[in-house]
Amino acid sequence: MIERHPTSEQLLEYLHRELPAPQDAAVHAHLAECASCAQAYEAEASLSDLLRAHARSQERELPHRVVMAIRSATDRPVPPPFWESFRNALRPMIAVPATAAIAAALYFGFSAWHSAADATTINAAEYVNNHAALTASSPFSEDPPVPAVLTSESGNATR
Amino acid sequence: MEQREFLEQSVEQYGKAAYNFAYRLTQNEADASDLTQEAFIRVFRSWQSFKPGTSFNSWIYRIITNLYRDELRRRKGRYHDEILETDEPHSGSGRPLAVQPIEEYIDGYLSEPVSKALAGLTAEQRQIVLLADIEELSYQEIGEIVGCSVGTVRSRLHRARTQLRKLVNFYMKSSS
Repeated sequence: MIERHPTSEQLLEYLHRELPAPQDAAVHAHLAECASCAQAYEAEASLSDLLRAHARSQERELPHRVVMAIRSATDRPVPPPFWESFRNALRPMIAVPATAAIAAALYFGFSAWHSAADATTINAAEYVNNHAALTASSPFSEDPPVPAVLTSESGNATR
Repeated sequence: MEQREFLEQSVEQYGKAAYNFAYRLTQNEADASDLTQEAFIRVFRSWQSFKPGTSFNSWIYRIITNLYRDELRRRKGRYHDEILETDEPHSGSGRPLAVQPIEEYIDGYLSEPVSKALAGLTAEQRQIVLLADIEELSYQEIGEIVGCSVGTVRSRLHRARTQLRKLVNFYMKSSS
């Protein structure tokens, strides 16, 4: 049994089962021994009983019209918040010019980069000549061999 | 689970409890119906924020409590953040504007002193008493619903019950 009488706050916590186990046990033991504290506890408990009895007597069913009103209200699509509507309205106004700007930047940027780069120049005639020389000297070539032309110092050609 | 299914299940399982809590809080049918309806619409809209395994009752009570608080502020009702210390009953101060029908008055005739005493509490006092003694929630849960610490719940509840006991005695004497 605890030496001191529990306070009214402690009795209330005991009633609501809010005390830690050791204190709960101590108050429980004290109430068994102390008539005045037991009386105070009964007064607290009877108020709770009165409230619960009152609540039970007043208990009522959820009206059907409330259920219907809930269903009706949740069937309607919820209007989006103002900021979202505003953002949605702005979306095409922003997205179209932005896409056009990106496309233009890509196009012109690529063209500029391409023209600025050092393009390798190809001497096509050199390839043609090399090819002709190779085919002329190749034994597998299907072209008839080009006859060698010899020139004498006197300028008379001999075959 | 789908949103619609979640709503239907929650209305079926907790609709009555939510409505009765709202009724005890507001003390009239019209306000209780509006509060319950609005609370379940909020449940529908934010159903994904509900964590399975937590108490749905606590969640719906919190929504109802907040809606009621907002409504009283909107009506410029006498909602106080602090507990009134006066012993005198305040005449219908916590009671919202709707009028109680006569049938309900007769139904509640036997518990008239308790009804009056509860109506004589401030909205905040009534909330805490209902949650602790009728809904039998823990102080921790009440703190989460009302938005204060466990220590504050403890002290407010003690003062509210002291006030309630005085009011019950007052109305019992006056009715006899």
